[in-house]
Parts: sequence; structure tokens; C-alpha cells
Amino acid sequence: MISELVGSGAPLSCSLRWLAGVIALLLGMLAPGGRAQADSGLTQYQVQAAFLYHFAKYVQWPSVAFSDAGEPIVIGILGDDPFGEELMNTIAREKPVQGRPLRIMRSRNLMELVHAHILFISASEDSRLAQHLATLARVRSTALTVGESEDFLKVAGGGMIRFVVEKNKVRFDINARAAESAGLILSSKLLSLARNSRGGR
Amino acid sequence: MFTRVQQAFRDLSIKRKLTLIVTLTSAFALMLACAGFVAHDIVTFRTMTRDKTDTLGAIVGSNTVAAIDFTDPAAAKEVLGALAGEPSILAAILYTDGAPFARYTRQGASVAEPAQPPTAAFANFVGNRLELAHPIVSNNTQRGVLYLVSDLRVLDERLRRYIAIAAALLVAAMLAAYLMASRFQLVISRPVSDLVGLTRRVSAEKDYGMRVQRHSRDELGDLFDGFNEMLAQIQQRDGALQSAHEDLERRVVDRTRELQQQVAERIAAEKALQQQLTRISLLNQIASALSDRQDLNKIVRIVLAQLEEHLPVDFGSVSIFDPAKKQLQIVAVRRRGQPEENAHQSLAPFGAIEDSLAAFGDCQSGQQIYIPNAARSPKAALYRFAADNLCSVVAVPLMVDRGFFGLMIVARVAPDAFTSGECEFLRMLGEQVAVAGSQAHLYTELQRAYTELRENQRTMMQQERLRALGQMASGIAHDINNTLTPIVTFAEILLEREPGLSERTRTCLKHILTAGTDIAGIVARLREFYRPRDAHEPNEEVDLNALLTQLGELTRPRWRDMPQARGVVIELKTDYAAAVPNVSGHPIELRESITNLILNAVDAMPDGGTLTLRTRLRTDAATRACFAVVEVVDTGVGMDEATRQHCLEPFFSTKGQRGTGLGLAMVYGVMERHGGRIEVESARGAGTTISLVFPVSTFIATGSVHPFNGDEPAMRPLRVLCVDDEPILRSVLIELFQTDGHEASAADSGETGLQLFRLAEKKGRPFDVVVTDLGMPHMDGREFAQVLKRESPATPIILLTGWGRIMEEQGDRPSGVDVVLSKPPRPHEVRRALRQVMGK
Repeated sequence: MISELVGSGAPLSCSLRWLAGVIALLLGMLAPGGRAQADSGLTQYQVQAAFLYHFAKYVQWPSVAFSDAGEPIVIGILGDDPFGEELMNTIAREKPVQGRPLRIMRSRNLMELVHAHILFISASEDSRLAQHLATLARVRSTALTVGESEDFLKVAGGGMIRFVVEKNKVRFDINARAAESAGLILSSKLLSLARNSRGGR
Repeated sequence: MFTRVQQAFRDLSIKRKLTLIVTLTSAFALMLACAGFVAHDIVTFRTMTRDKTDTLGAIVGSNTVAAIDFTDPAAAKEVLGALAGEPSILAAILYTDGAPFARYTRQGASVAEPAQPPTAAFANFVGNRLELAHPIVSNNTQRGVLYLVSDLRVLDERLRRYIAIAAALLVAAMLAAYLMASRFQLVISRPVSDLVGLTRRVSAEKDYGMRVQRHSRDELGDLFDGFNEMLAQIQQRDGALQSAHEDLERRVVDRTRELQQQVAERIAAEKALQQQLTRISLLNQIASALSDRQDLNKIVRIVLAQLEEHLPVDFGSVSIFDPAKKQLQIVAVRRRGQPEENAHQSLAPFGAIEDSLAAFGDCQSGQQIYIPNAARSPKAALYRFAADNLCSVVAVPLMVDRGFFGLMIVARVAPDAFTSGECEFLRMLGEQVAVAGSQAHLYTELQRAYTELRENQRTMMQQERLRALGQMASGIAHDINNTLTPIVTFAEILLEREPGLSERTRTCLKHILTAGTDIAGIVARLREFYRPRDAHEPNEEVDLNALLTQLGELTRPRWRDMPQARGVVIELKTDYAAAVPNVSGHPIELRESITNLILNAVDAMPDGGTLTLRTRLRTDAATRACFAVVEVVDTGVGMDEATRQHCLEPFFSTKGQRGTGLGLAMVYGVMERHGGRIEVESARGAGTTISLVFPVSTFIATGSVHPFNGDEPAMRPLRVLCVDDEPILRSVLIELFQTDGHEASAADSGETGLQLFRLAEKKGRPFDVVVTDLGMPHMDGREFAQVLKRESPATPIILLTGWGRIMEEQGDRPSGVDVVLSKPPRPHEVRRALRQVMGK
């Protein structure tokens, strides 16, 4: 009965999966950098790009963050963009979140990205991380700051979410207090998935 | 099986039936109710279980969204683990992108993964499990599918409990129903069994006086009343039926006797009818057999044969009455068992019938006679029947138009053997036979009359033909005569009056004259071969025997001398009957005719033979008239039938150049004039016999008159006017008259003739005589004569024509003409005519 119901969809999903595997292999060869989540055939940054998108679903921004209902959620990339096309693809693939479209902005100038709702601070900005975070705090940014450097959460003013790779899997830590101070409300589901919260439990 | 149960149920007593019906009905109702409840419960339970599981799936599923978003199976498994709180859930598997992402299995439960990862919602009851898939949707996107397996054993449990309760209820209800039914059924079953008992007794004892006791006022009570009433009626009818039955029995016996009688009568009638029919058909058969036969003998034979076979009779005879001899003549006799000839000769009754007119005298008046027993009859003729063992005799008169035509006698061996029906039949048959017989008689007469008529007609036709040919011959003769006139006349005139003719000239003229006269003779014969008796030539008595003797001698050169020269011998035989009377006739014509016959006979025997001349007297049996017959018989080549039929016609000749074809035709004409006839008997190769048959009753007295006187007294000179369109005839006539010393003038037409005549009158020298031709253009001789006679009635007129004879015969002398002369005009005839007219 079940097989009958799902039978028609099986070859399509199979071939898709196969196609995805081929694409991943090609990308892997182009970018021999990270190879996290090899089991799912995705690179570390592909996964991270997807996470960036998914974060938007579990964050509730303060009302000042959007001037009107249709305003897009802006994902800002500060510094070197490790995702390349990947993030763009993810957003294009996924649906709008909370009724808002998503947009990507890239810049090395923080000031151009202070209105971003999710701000990824690349590892290239590690040296000026504290400065950036202080700037953000000063301008009362409502951006959810995401980073990958080791001290991202510990820096004064603190980042909010940090990607970690653990056992070839991309996970993340959350600095809930930093988010709270920025006026952001993080979903308990998100919090329960954070490595540090689990570990702290 | 089912029918056997049905049958068994039908055979149960009403008491049991009622109990069983009530019990079963309540049990069935209860069962139906329980089944309904259980079914409802099962359906409700299932629906509830599905809804509950689905809700559970929705709750758990939504909790796993984040774990899916961030690909954290461990977190998902943790969420699924919460399902342990629901004991009915046996397993839960979370699928993302078609692959298991996290799973939960209840302790101790073994659940297999679905063969295909589910992709959409479904809910299936498989065995005692519910398999359900719930899609997980987040942000309007299906993130995965949660597959749940729920245990339904709780339901089974409940079901078992229900059934146990229902069974217990059923047993209790049936028991209660049975108890109640066995009490209450008595209300119906007792009266019924009472009724049954009474019925059995009534039928066993045949006592319709019993009555049943009524218990209640319901339908059963009515039924009892009805039953009682029925019994009463049966009792009453029983009595009536009994008496009716006896009555019927008696009537059947009567009717049967009557019918038997009728049947016997009918059979007798039918038999009679059958006989009648047979006879009618026999009569019919005979009648139809008679209708197409015309021979009296055959008719009678058929009738007798049919009678013997079908009526039947042992003896039958038919005789015809001869009114002249006043006696009966037997036509046919039949005796059973004997051939017809024998019957005729050896039978005793034959003699009896011959003179049976005495015995059956009454038959002559048309009365039928039936003698039941001939042996007891006093009449001798009948006794002879008895002698031949024929006892019953019926004599049937055959009457035609109330006249006695004949007698039919039939007889049988047994005495008193003819019924009145048969007698009647024989009477009818007699009528038939009489009619048929007389018709046959009439037919024979008719046949004879017809043959006679045909013979006459043939003769008439022949005569008519010969007559036509005769007229034609006269026409030809006229032309020849016109041409011959100058030849003969001039030759004669020259010989008579021309002086100083040399001997040679005279001889030549004589030859011319002879030849011309011969031609004129031939033409005359041609004209005469069909000339009726000439009033101017009276008959003489002719002795035929003497004539034949004379002719035999005269023709000797032809039948003896000439053939002998060729080495052929013809013998002459004479056979003269002494009793042959003289016949009245013209001796010259007769001589010529018989000579002709003898010469023909000689010509018919080129190789010799016998010529027989015979005379005999013939008496006609029918008319008793006497004829004298001359026969000329030869043994020559004979004639075939065609020749025989045409031999009397003119110009018919078998002699080629030698014959004129006028010989026999002339003989025929002569015989016609003598009132006799010519008979020709011949066949090819069998000789010819030609008979001249003279009637002897028509005898005319002898006495020959010769008006012509050889010496002609001289006449005074006359003035003659000759009118003719032919110049040569004019000159002949003028020459003729002038030679005789008369004064002749000629005119070439009637008109000119009239002018000349009138001129002569004026001059005072009128013509004494006028001679005119008949056929001329414009004004013919007839007209001319009429005009002339009107102007000068005293002047005699002589008409000259080739048709003279015929005109005389037919009395066709034109008015105004005194004398008719034939062409060619012979000088002595002209002189005689002149004398005749001037002598008046």
C-alpha cells in the first residue's frame, strides 16, 4: 500500500539525489578547502549557507528592524564571502520566511551592512571583530551576528551564533545573552539544537 | 438442504411453529441490534484511533522541524522518544528527502520499515495495526514525513468483550421468549387442534352431523361458524346429490338405448346411400364413356361390361328394334364367366330374346318389367332364362322420343335379386343407353349424308370448271374463225365461180379449202365440247351393240393393222349384252365419242394387249333406275390418280404432239348432252376402263329431220348493206354477195352504215337486207340494229358473230336482229339466211 502510494515519486528523488552527489563531487574538487558533512555529500559552506537561511525562521526581530511588512530579510556578508554562489542558490531555492523575501548583501564595510538582519562576519574580519561588534552595539543593530572564529562568542560585546565543525558535522553555538541584548528573541527549538546549550544541559 | 429444513418446519405442529417463530424472531432482532452496535463501535473506534494517531503525528512532527532544518537526527530522535508515553504507538520513523532521518521503536515491538519511504499522507488498517503517514510542513514547505504504526489490539479486546455480552443477552432473551411463547400460543393452537380433531372425526366417520364448539369472537371463531355451516350444507347436498345421481343413472341408460337405435338406423341409411352413390358413379362412368363414342356396338358392349362388373349382373343383353320387320335384333350379349362369342352362340336366353317381344311386350310402351323368379313364370321365353339358371330378370325398354328403340335385359342367378333402387338405376341407365344409341344411329346417317354431299359438290365443281374452260375455248374459236373466214370463203368462191382455172390452181385451191375446213372443224369441235343439247338436232334411237360392232370394224386399221406393222398385237374382245336397250342420242356424236375412246385405248397399249368392247345393263340398287353402259377396256399403261382426275378437262393430253387434248373432253360434253355420264376407272399399269352410262328411261321417239335442202332456188338480186370494222371481212362479204348476183355496199362502222342506209332511202333505192358484225368500236352491232330497226322496221338484219351459237343457246339474240350467223360465214349458210329473211 505504501509502496503504491510513493512509487511514482521514487525514481525522481533517486535521480535528484544522484545529481546532487555529482554536483557535490565537482564542487568538492573545485574547493578542496572544507569537507565537512561528507556523508551528506555537502561542503561545510553549503551547509552553513543553508543554516544561515534557516536561522531566519527561528529568530524574532524587534519591530524596529523592519520598516514595513514586505521588507526583505537581509543577510549580510561582511568580509570574504566563503559561500560564493551557494548562499544565493539556497535563498533562491527556499521560500520567503515570515512572509518576507531574503536578500544578500556583501561588503567589507560594516556600515553598509548595519541594517542587515542576519550578519555573517567572515573569518577575514577576525582582527577587527571586537571593533565590529562594538560598532554594531553602538548603532543598536538588530542583526543576528553569525561567525566562525573560535572567539566569536567570547569577544566583548559577543557574537550571537558561531559555526563549529564537529565530527565532520556543522553545528553551532549560541550566545543567547548577546541576542537578547540586541532585542532578538531566539526560538527555543533553535536554542535546544545549539551545541553549547545541549552540552550545558 | 435449505428446502429440507423448510419442509421440516412446515411439518411442525402449529403449537411448535408459533413457539419457534416467536423465539427465533426475538433472537434475530436481538442479534441484529448487537451486530449493529458492534459494527458502529468498530467503525467509531477505528476513526478515533486514526484521528488520534494523526494528531499525535502532527504534534510530534512539528517538533522535529528544527531538528530537520539543522540536520540534527539526534535531536529528532529525542523528540520521537516522547512517543513512549502512548502505549498504542509501536513505532515512528521520520523521513526527510526520502530517507529515514530518525526513528523510534517501542520496547519489545518489531516493526518493519515500509518498502517505500512515504511521501504523502495516508492511513491504512493492516491486520491489527494502523499504518499512518503524516507530512511535516514548515514555512509552507514539506520538510519530511512522519510514519507511525499504531497497535489495534485494544480494539480486538473490546470486540471480544462485546460478543460475549451479546451472546449472553441472546441466550437470556431466547429463553424468555420461549417461555412466553409456549404459554401464549395456546390461545391460537388449542382451538385449531380442536378443529383438526373434529375434522378427522368427520372424515373418518362420514358423520356430517357433528359441530365444533366456538371459543372466541375472533377470526377463529368465524372460521368455526363457517365450518359448522359448511358441514350443514354438505349434509344437505349429500342427500340431493344422491337422488340426482340415481336420476342421472336412469337417464343415461335410457339415452344409451336410444343412441344405439339411432346408430343402427344411421348405419343402414349410410349403407343405402353408399350403394346409391356407387350406382350413380357407375351411371356417370357409363355416361361419360358413352358420350365420346359414336358406334352403337361399342357403346352397348361398354355398358354391358360395366354392368357385369360393377352392379353386378350375371347376364346382360341389348337388342335393337327393327320397325320394318317388327322384331328385335341382338346387338350384344354378355354372360358372366363366358367369352362374348360363346355367350352369343351357346346361351339359352339368346333364343329367348330373339322372340322376346312376346314375353316383354309391355316394354314397347316404355314399361320396365321385373320378373323376380323366371322359373315360376308361365311364359316360355322366360322359362328359358330359368333353364340357364337365371332367375331374376329385368327388361328395360330403350325409348327415344317416346318411340321403342330397343330392349336391354339383365339377369341374376339368385331369385328376387334386384332391389327397387337397382331397378330404378337400370331405368335411368336405359334412358342413357337409348339416347347414346339413337345418337350413334343419327351420327351414322349424318356421316352418309355428308359423304354424298361431298361427292355431289366435287362433281359440281368439275362441271363448273369444264364449263369455264368451254367458254374460254369459244373465245379462242371466235378469233380463229375471223381469220379463217377469208381463206375458206375466197377459196370456195374461186372454185365455184372463177372460170379458166388451171388444173394445178384448182388442186391448190382444193387443198386450201380442205385445210381451212379442217381447221373450222377443229374449232367447231372445240366450241362444241361443252355444248348443251341443241334443240335443232333431234335425237335418234341408237342401237349400242350395232354401233360398237360397226366401230370395231371401222377402227380395225388402228387397233390391228398399224400395230401389226410395228410387230405389236392387240386383240379385240367383244362382250355385248343382248338385253341392252336402245338409247336416245345423236348417232354422229356417239360414233365420234366411242371412236375417240377406242383410239385412246389403242394408244395406251404401245406394247400390245387386249381391247374389250362391252355393253351391259346396269340397275341402280337405290333408285332402281336402268342404265345402258358402254365400256371400252384396255390392258394398257393406265393412269395415275392425278391424270385420272384431269383427263376429262380440255387440252389435257398425255400424248404430247399427237394429241389435241380435246378427245375425252368432247366425249364428256357429248355425254352431258345425252344426260349420261362418263366413268373412268384406272390405275397405273393396270389398264383403263372407260364407261359411258346412258339413262334408258329418257327415250325420245325416232325420226330424223333434215331441214337443209341441197337444191337452192335462185333468188332475185338484192341490195345488201354490209357493216364490219374488219376490211377483210367486208371484202369477203361483198365478194360473196356480188358472186351470187346481189348488189352489195360496205360500211366500216355503225355510224357510216346508218348514213349509207339513210342516203339510199332518200335516193329511193333502199337496201333489202343489212348484214352487220357484232363487235365494233363506238357503235356496236347491237346498237346499230336497234337504231336501224326503229327507222325501218321492215328491213331484215343479219348479225354476224363468232358468239352466234352461244347467243342462240342463251336466248340472247339482240332485239332488232332477225338472224344470227356464226363466223366464218359459209356461202351456203349465208344463202340460206338470206332466203330465210326474205322468205318472211
